Amino acid sequence: MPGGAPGLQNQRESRTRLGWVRFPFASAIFKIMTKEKKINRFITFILLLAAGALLYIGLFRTLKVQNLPLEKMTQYPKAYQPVLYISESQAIFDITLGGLVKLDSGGIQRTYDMNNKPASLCPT
Amino acid sequence: MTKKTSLIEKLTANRLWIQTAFLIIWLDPMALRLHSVCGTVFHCYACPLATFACPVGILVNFSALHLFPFIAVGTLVLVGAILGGFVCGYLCPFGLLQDLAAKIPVRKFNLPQWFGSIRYFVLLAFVLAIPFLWGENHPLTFCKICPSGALEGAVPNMLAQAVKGQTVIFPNTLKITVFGITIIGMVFVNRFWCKLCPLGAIFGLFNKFSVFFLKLDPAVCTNCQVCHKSCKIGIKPNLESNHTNCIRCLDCTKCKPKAISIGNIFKNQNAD
Repeated sequence: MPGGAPGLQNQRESRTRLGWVRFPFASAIFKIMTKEKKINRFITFILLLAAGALLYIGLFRTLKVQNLPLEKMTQYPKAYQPVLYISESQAIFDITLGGLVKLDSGGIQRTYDMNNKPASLCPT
Repeated sequence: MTKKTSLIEKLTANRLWIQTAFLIIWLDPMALRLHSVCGTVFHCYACPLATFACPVGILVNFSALHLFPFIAVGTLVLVGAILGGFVCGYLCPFGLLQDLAAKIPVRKFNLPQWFGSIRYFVLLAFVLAIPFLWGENHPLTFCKICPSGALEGAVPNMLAQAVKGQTVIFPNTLKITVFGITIIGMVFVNRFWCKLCPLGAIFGLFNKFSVFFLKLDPAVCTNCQVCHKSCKIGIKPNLESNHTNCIRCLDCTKCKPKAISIGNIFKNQNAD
């Protein structure tokens, strides 16, 4: 084969490009983008990284919820209403029981008291 | 090469058994009730035997609460980016139900390919937009019309109420109607609900970009079109092997030249 193995020839050609020498990072991204399979592979890695980041945020964030039964809400001024910080996992558990509702004021209300048992059935 | 082929053959031959094995996991045999953990399949958490929380239910309720569901989206992206449509073909309990219903010997009908796009409308409208705009109690919120909720949540709970002598609370008319249409549909159309499933819509988006994908070898493919006939979803796998509607049942790998196989991104292979 003239000029040696095709892989080697490609390597030689790419090294003579100006971008390969001066902007190795940009050139590397360009090389990734040149073929569809490489784009797909790149997107897969981005998706896996994004999933990891989302799970990391989700596992460590807390949500502020009003922890007072709805009927007692009016008895307390807003500043004195008990507030609870729950994890997103706890929020997921609560929604499976219909335990969280959105208030008109924009806040989130837990429908059962800390001392009470949550509902046993999903409201749907 | 021989090893890979035999793995695919084993998977396709034992698909119902694999689905049944996963069904046991979803049906909470250890009574763990891990409802704070986001599941990856279409299985309602109102089911008395649900192990995990339904991801679609989480999306609906978080949308209603105006919160971004980091864990649910992260879980779906992670599983989708690894497996893509394999979740629908091998893991989903509602998919198993449909596969069993499809075994009833009646004439099967094919729906046009565009019908599968309706699920994106279902995802955007009933799962995200309506709960976000009008709250979780809106009658068109997805959980209020979900056939999985009707089958796995409402029916067992109604039975429990009847057994206990309590007043039986029926689900709303729309939910019963959707459930009825789904049950009839899954008998006459292969994987009828998959064409409307919002979770399948999410996983379908990952088909082209997942770690494991369907790999077509154009040098081997003779265009015998056996894969066209074997595909129950109605895709032409040798033309679009990683179509968004594909549930990756791997029936298309049964052609004689073995042109379609499972590829992964770690090997230097082309995704069609």
